[in-house]
Amino acid sequence: MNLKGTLPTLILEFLAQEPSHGYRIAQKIKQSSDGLLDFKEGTLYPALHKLENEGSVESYEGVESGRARRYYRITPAGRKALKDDRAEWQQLSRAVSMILGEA
Amino acid sequence: MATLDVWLKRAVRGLSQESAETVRREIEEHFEAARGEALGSSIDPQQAGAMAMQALGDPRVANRQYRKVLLTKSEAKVLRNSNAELRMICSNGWAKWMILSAPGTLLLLSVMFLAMHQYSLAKGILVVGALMAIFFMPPFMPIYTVSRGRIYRAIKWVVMLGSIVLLFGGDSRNGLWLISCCFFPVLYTEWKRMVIRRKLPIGRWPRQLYL
Repeated sequence: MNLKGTLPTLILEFLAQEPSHGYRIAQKIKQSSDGLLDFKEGTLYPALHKLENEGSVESYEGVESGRARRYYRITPAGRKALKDDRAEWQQLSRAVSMILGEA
Repeated sequence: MATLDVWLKRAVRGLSQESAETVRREIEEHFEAARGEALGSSIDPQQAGAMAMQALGDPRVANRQYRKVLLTKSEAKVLRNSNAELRMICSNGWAKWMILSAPGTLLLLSVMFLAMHQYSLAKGILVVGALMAIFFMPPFMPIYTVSRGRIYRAIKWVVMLGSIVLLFGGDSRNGLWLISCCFFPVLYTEWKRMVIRRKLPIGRWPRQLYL
């Protein structure tokens, strides 16, 4: 299923639960959607950089299993953006359901 | 590993050295994690590598997206060059005082020629003075916050457009080719800076991005 445009929101959603690194974010998105939301992992990092440039997430160096990793955590601005995105998505989803329900 | 190198070469094409390093580091890290997990599930090393590579997707698509969010070679060059200009102006005491006093002197000269009814000369000197002030004086002014930078940039555009109108008057449209040639380097730098401002978080802005 195409993730176009929704990937930043999904990333923010996972980072709102706990700070994480790129690989784990990718795995969580795939697992949480039962593999329905599949995307190429090479495009995850540009989305993370965009969120970082906007000030929605910040990165820091961490260690996992003895290996240095770049971790990302959500910022207050990111939480606000996520709240707005959620509201927008619910509105859109309701509108589409109404139309498809009538068809 | 050779396949990953090829993927990375394609993904970092056109990116600045710093951006390319960032991409290499994060993708290698990601690839190793994916490969490690596959190996942990008793998949043979070759297949684990192939699976991790496949999950990364098309490097050209990644490259297009990276170019939108990370600095490219040409943007890094603009940033480097304008920083060199700033440093040159600020570090040389003699140049600093000359640049600080020139716009005022030119304004006085312009008023003097205006009083002598030499309007075109007065106009020319006024334009040169205003442009010198707007381009060379900012390093010495307290404009390095987001809102002040925005105000400065708005004033800069008003002065630039005002200078064109003042110099060329009604012929501004006819002399468009000349104006475009003269202002092309300025417009190019402005456009590049605008793109860079979107790519860098405000906390990482160098001084020249406020201008």
